[in-house]
Amino acid sequence: MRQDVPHERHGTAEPDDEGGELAPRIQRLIGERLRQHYDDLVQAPIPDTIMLLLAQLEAKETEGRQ
Amino acid sequence: MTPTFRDSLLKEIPNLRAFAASVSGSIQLADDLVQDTLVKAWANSDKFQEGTSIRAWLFTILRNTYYSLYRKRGREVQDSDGIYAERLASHGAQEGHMDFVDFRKALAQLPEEQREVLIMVGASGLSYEEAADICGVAIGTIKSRVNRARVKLAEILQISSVDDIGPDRRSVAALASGLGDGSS
Repeated sequence: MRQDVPHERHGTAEPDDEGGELAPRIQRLIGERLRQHYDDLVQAPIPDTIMLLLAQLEAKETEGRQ
Repeated sequence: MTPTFRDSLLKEIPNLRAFAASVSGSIQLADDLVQDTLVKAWANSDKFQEGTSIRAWLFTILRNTYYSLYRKRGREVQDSDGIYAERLASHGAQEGHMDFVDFRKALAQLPEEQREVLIMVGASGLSYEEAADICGVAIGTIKSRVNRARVKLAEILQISSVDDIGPDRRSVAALASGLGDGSS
């Protein structure tokens, strides 16, 4: 499998240096893998502790209003 | 507290966790971070400007909390592969689990400032402008960080160096698998 990727340019390492450009196909692959990684995390079930916390925050507020 | 605000908070929790876990590299730390963020958001709900992105607002709170309180702890704890992978495996292992771990490891090797913006604009749906606001830097800086992050990822996954050291078929296959990238 051959990738047409330009070699990384060396030398200039300015903070805003654009660096090497990746072939569109590689960019797409990385983008898709990244979203997959993220979506896996997004779809993970939310732990009870977090839902409990929200309920507590709400309860405290209701209490404060009375 | 308006019901709308509460509902939008609720809706953002999965994204907050995903962002926190990606930045800190630990799902345990992520849950603590999310809880801190929710408490702060709740207490400061009056400071949220209607019409702006609540996700960007919450990410800002979470990020500040992470940098001021958790980063050091994160380095100490350094989530064992086990916990993170195990918890994730329990829900969506529909595609190669090893591939996922490989990619996560590669992500973890990125400099923090590159990883966070890559996640923001490349996965969480924030705009470059929002990411710039969150990080307090110029949009151009965000763009170059994202670009460098991509190049570095390709490097780590050995997909940019095929000419130099020969194709690492396993990495390329790992990266390409399950993407429906019709390589016929």
